[in-house]
This record gives sequence, structure tokens and C-alpha cells, in this order.
Amino acid sequence: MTLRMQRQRLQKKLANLLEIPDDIVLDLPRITLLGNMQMLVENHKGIIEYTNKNVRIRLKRGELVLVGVGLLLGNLQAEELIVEGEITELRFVE
Amino acid sequence: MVSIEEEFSLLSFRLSNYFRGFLVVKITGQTLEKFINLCIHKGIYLWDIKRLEDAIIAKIRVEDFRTIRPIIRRAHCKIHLVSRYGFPFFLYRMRYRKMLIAGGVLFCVCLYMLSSFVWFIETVGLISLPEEAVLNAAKQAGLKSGTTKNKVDVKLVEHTLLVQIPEIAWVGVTLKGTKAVIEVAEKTVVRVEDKSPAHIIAAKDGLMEEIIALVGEAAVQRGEMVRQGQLLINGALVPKVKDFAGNLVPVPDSPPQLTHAQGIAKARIWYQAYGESGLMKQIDRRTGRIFTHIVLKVGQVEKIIKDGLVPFGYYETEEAYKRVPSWRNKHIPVESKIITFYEIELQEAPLTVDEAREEAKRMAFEKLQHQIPEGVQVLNRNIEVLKTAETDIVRVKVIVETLEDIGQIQKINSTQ
Repeated sequence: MTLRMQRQRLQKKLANLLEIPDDIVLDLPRITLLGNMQMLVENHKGIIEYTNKNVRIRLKRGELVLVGVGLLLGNLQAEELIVEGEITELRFVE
Repeated sequence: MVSIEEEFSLLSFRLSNYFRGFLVVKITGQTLEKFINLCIHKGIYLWDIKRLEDAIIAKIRVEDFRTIRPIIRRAHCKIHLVSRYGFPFFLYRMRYRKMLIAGGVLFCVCLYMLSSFVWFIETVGLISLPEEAVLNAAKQAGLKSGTTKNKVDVKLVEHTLLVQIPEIAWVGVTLKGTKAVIEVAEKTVVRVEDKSPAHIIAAKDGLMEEIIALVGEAAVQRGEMVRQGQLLINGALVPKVKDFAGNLVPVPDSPPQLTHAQGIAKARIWYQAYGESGLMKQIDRRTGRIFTHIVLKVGQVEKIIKDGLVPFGYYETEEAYKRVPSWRNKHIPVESKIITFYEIELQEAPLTVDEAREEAKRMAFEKLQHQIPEGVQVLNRNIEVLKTAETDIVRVKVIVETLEDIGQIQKINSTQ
């Protein structure tokens, strides 16, 4: 655990030094929200659960839990994913 | 936050989907998330995914439908085709509607063929030439409605028009779609003056104020009273010679020299009219009660919205038109006509002598207005109140003096 944190810190320093965006070096998801009606997740790792009220998206570390009403998967690709509907809650789970 | 680029890519995405065709499928099973993840992994593109209780409905490309089968099997799901969209399926359906396609093709062919004819011929710039003359000449050169466009030799038509109609200075023929426009510039032809022998006679009675003979001989003098039809400038000149005393005398037995008399013949003319007015006057007064008719007009069709018998004995009418404002050059042929009837009351009001005189004057001037031609120089106005034995009536005589050119051309008969 500490080893991983150290490595992450090192990577972050390197990213700052080379002025590379953090999300590329650290393999983080880039999430764009359009109000509460649309969410674009880039760099996701798949879907764990999908229902009308609940979408769980796997990230590199942990998962992203979305709660809402009438959720749709608008666009499903290897790189990006769009969730449409009324989003009420957004939560990161380790 | 959808940028233009994304918007465009969305449009092109939709277009490509339409042309390649896509399917709406329903996938049932317990491990639907696994199926979705496998699809992402294999690069199978799914969109508009909707969750039902125990199934998902998604859109998928036609070519992916084949490769999705092993994934379905691996995820222990079942797939059903719900519907098919897109151009390929449209074509597929059209296979059974050959006449529809034939009709479409026929329409295109007809449109193409009809557009290769000249149907309308328009002329621009004609002032005095009759349009038919130009159209007839164009017809002879091969330009008439119903000929194919490639048979019309524009140069030939222009040349023929120039040769056949000498009044044309320049002509340009252009074909615009199914319309041929003949643009014409006419020569300005010098008007031929009337040289036939003529006298100038008086058109009205009057007192000669100015007489100048430009061609011919003045027959009257300034200050002379003339009657209507009297000779003013003589166009038939009798040759004259000087006698020993220096006076001009006519040459005996020589035929008169005939000319077209020209000149200015101005005379004073008097017009007079009477007016009278009693010392009581009728006044029309609106009572304030109104009644309306409404008519709506669309194109040539009139639709009465409200009418009925006018419930007044005496009334005045006013008509008002309202139409839809025209937009650009398009005129919308809708208008409404509102006729308003105002009830009036007839009242008698006493007049003072001054008012009665004014009224009588007004009446007299009104009568004069019909007699005096427009635009003449008015020299003098004379208003005279006539004295009468009656006390309840005022009579007025108005005399207007004008200066007018009373010259009128009268042709001389050569037999005379």
C-alpha cells in the first residue's frame, strides 16, 4: 500500500515536471457532467451494474456509483461512456 | 457543453448509421453487465441502452449482429431482434414497391424534360412598341413557348429582332430556366410635327390679352373681344405688296399661301356663378350610435362575418380595410373590410347673415370649380352680394377672371 502511494507520488512529480496532464500519467477517469442530465466518463474500465436507478462503473482504482432516475447508457465505447437521465447522486467507492 | 465539432460528429454519426443501417435488439439474461463489458472489450458499439426489468434494449450496427452471437453465448443471454432501421432496410422494403420507384424516376425524368423547354417569354423595356410585334418576330426566329432550349439560337433571335423591327436600338435575349427574357431598348424617334395647313381659333369667349403669331397672321388685336370659334391666327396668307404710299395691300387674284398657324393667344375670361343660402341650415350630427358590417376577403372569395339591416333612418358610412402586412415581396391576399354606419340626426340651426353669405359663397365657388380648367392663372375674384327684396335669403354672385391660352387648332380644308 505504501509502496503504491510512493509510486503514485513519484508519478505525479514526474507529470508535473514534464507538464503532462495528471489523468494520462495516473490513468484517471475524466468525468464531464452536464448539469444533472448527462455524464461523460472517459477512460473507464467497464460496467459492474446497470439498472434504471443505478449505474456502477469500474475505474482503475475503485468504482463510480451513480444513482438517479431513468438512467440510459447513451454511448458505449472502449474509451468513453455516456450516462443520460436524471442523476441525483455521484459517489466514488474505493 | 456540446462543441460544434461534437455536434457535427453527432450528425455524421447519425447519417452513417442511417446509411449503413442499424438494429434495435432486446437482450435478456441474468448477467447483462457482463455482456455489456464483453461488448466494450470486443469493440462492439452499442448505444441508446435502456434498462428494462430483466432485459436491456440497445441499438447495434448491422455488421456487429454477427459477431455479437458468441458474446451472447458466453454471457448466457438471449437476443431478440426488435426492429430494423436505415437505408438498406428501406431499399429492401422498396423491392416490393416497384411502381413507387418507377413513379419517382418518372417524376425526375418529367421534371428534367419539362425544364429543357422554354415555356414563358417575357419582354422588358418596351415603351411604345406593341409586345406582340416583338413576340411575333421572336417566333419567326424560333423563340416561342414550347421549343426546346437548345434549339433556340439566341444570336439569331437577337439579329432577327434587330432587322425586323427598325424601332429597336438594342436587344438582348437571355434564357433563365424555362423563361426567356427579351430585353429591348427602343430608339427615340423624333416626333413628326403636324405641318398640315391650319388656323388658330378661339376655344372660348374672352378679351384678348396677348396675341403673338409665330406662323401665320394675327387676325385680332390685343384688347379685342372674341367669341368662341372666331379666327385668331390666320393660316391662309394672302400675298401682299407695298403700294406707292408704303401700305401693304393684297395682291389681287393670287391664291392664299397655306401654313400651319402657330402662336400664343391669351385672353381674359370671366366665369360667374350664383350661390344662395337661407338663414336656416341643416346640420348632420352623429348621435354616437354605430352599427358595423365585417367582411373577410381571401383572394377573390368574400366571406361575410357580420351583416344585417342597418337600424338607423339617416346614417353615414365609413369603410376601413385591414390587410396582413406583406412580407418581402410576397403579398398575402387576406384582408378584412369593416363598414361602420354612424347614425345621424338632422338638425336645423339658425345662421347669421355673415354665415349665410359664407355658405352662399362656398356654393358659388363649388359651381365654378367645374367650369374653370385646372392650373390656369386666376387674375381676379369678385364677390358681390345681390340685394333682394326677400330678407330670409342671401344671394351671392361670384365672378372669377382668369388668363388662359384659348388657341385651338382648326384645319383648313384644301377645297376651300
